[in-house]
Amino acid sequence: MKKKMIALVLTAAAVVTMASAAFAASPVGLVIDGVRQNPSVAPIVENGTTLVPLRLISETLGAEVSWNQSAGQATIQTAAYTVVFTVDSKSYTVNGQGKTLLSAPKLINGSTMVPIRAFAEAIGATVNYDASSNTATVDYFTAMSGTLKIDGSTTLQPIAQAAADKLTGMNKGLSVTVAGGGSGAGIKDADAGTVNIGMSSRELTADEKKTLNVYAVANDGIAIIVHPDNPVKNLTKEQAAKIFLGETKNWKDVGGEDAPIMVMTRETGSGTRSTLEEMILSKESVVETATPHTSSTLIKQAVAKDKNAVGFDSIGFVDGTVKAVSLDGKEASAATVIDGTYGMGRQLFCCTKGAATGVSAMFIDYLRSKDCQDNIVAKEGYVKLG
Amino acid sequence: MDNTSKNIAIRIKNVTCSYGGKPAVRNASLDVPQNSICAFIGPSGCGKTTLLRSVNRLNDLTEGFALSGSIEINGENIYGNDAASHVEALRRNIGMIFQQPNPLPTGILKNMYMPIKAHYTGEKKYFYEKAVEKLKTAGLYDEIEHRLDRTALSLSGGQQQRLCIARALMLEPKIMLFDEPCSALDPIATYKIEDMLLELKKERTMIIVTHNMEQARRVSDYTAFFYQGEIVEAGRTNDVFFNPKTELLDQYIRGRFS
Amino acid sequence: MRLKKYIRDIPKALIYLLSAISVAVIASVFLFIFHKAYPVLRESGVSLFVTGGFDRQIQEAFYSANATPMLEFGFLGLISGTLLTSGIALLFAAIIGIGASTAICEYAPRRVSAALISVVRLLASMPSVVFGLIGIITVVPAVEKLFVTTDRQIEYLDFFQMSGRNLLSASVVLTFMIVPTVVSLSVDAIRAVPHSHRETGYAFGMSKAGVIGKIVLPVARPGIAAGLVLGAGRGIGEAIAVSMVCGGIGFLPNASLGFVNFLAPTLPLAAAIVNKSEALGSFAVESALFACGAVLLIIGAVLSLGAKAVEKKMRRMAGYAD
Repeated sequence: MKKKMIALVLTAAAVVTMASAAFAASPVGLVIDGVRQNPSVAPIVENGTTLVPLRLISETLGAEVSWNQSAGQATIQTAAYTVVFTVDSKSYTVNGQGKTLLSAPKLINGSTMVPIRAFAEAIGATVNYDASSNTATVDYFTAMSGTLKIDGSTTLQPIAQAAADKLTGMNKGLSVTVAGGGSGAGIKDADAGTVNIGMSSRELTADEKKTLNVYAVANDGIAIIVHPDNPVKNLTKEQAAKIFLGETKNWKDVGGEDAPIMVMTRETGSGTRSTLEEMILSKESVVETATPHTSSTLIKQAVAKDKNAVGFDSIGFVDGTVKAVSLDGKEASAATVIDGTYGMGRQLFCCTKGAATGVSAMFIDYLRSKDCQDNIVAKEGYVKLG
Repeated sequence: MDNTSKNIAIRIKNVTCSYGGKPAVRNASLDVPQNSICAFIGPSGCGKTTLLRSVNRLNDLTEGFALSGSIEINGENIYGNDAASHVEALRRNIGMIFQQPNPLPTGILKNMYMPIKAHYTGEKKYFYEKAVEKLKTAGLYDEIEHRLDRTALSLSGGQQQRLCIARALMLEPKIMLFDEPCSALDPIATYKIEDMLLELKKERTMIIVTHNMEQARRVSDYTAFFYQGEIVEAGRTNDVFFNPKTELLDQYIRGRFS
Repeated sequence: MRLKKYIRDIPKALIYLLSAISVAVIASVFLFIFHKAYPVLRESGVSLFVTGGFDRQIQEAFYSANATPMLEFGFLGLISGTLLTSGIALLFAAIIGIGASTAICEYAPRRVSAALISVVRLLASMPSVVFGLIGIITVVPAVEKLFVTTDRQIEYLDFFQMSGRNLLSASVVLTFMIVPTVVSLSVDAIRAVPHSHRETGYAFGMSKAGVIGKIVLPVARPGIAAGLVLGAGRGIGEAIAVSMVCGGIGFLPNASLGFVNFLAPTLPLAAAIVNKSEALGSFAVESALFACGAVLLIIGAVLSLGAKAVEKKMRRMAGYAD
């Protein structure tokens, strides 16, 4: 009798252990916004909590991650929320407020794993777990609804428009309008509240930062453009400065033909122009006689039409109709901007009145998400955020 | 018509006028002696005005107008030459006064200068003196000498019509045509103008279309009676009115129809 | 008894009320513009009207902090741009417009005349941006081809960058815009001349040209003048079409350049507001642009008073008592 009992208990224990081991070992499927994910480290379930790799989740949902090695803390920032997890600790904060987890974040094979439900809900995403298929689904960019009005920098406009098209395609209840008008207009309109998000291709002034929050969404370089037939291929910063300040007036002085240099510029208030003036002209203004144009496209067209013209435009706008000269020997490209060797790299921003919330915040998160950065920013010829 | 004792200024011979095929004057013939007033009388729409306007070829301005026959002025058929210069010269020598006074909406003197400035150049002083002379002839000068620069539209109807006559006189026309000149005016203004006509005829040949038989009797030397486009009877005014030869004219004089 | 009196007073009161509201709305717009423009107006004073340098000043203003705004401006380049483009356009529009309307009313066969008048009325109501497009596509390239050579560009590079977008192109585009308005009103004025006046002219032996020149046009003069004033107003206030072809720089004409002044870029007041609106975030820029608006209002008022004075003189010449 006793022997039989022990055998039964042992078997039961073995079964339970094996079962739980099996449970613990079976990978949880992860679907984010309808796309099945394949992370290098598979999500696991612990104490009923699903843990997913932090890198994956933040890249996909457009959050910025900073890692404090000594404290073992990961700070994850979306446009609207800041979540701080500590490895092996059940306490975490959301926008400063303390909360408690059922299961602590872990370090597995060098990847930080965080509780998906806690994180997703903290930033406003919806999480569902389907036991039959053993899959966790997160809906963030597919749960957007409402109206968004965006305007501002014509440099950023194509990116925002492509993002808007993608998001409205995924969300029936969402409508987004994207307009141009220049960085100046975007900042002003965001401040006035006539748009939800203002786009800017320049840094905001101290005055502007008093009321507006700024979010970097892409990198960009400003290329100096000339007509494709212009033999000049490179300019030093000094040469470029002299040209735009009106001191050098003939192409032959910079290695070109004997012809007048017709300077094209953007109108006052253009973020692209401000950046050029800051980075190359030591904040002096482009020469007074330069012909002003009101958008990125128009200045490019002006240069494309005139053999003797020189202008400047975002790298993303450079196409076959104009030629970008290299600056101090560095070609104007995404690579040189990212590695910092190109002399006129800059960031592109979205700004909101106060901290971004709701759908505005989600739109900004999308701009920073892997999907947008790979498929829109890089594809359009701009430079991804670092 | 008795045409032996005087020269004939206007000879109308077998004239038929039509507008777009519809005849308004049929086979009219008439001699108008020099320096006399001839009245055209008859019911409305009987061709009086049409024939009048044919004398200075003003009907040429209407599309579809056609005239057959001839009108001779001083021996020359005015419908023999269609050149613009010829027609313009013809009209220059004929003065016309319309039913509604129509001075231009500008100053009195400017109105007076208009016809002469259109054709001649000259010193302002000369034009001014001539204008004053004609205004006096029209009996208008005394009434308005203190406001010659004022707009012509500030004059009364009678004064405006006299102004139009004075204006027409600026070109010294030898022939003058009047299309019911007093029908829009009051009796006093009418008398003033009739007096003027009697004075003017001493040196000019005049035709006056009128509905007012009394006027015709007062003013004209000769009268032609029109009925449905034809000149039914014509002759010295006294003869026509006291001894009408046709039944129609008799009825008309009696006022049986108008 | 009392009720009836009320009923009679209600429409009257209503009309007074509505009139008061209209006046209030217009007055408040004026006040708002001058209020917003006041900082620049006060700081610049008279030099606003007699000195230039707008392009440089607006850049400085944009970068000035809101707490220490840069408010000294000189609009002379903008004012001369406005007056020159509108003036030239008005001159050409008067010649072309009066000629065209005379031809339409006096010489064209009836059917052609009616068709032409419909076309003209349509053109007169076309949105101005369409004229801007026409300017970009046809006028600017034509001017460039005809007048802008590389040699000329080099020669005048110290003064300005020569291109097809210049004072000449802007004036031509404005002419296109104003002509339909002038023709439309002149046609009405000519048609309104009573036929009796024409008959009088013919009866005096005048030729057709004489009747038109010495009788019809002088009598139609007030109506034609109204068309010109309206056209001038449209030209002065035109922003979009002009901004597309003017060159965008408030270059002040220089006597030594002679004809070449027409090939220089210009920036009329209304176009300046359009072009610089991207910089509106800055307080100084905002005040400066409203100042442009205020100056436009002043020019409009002067034009209006001038037109009235000319009308008065004409009436006196025609003999009306004052």
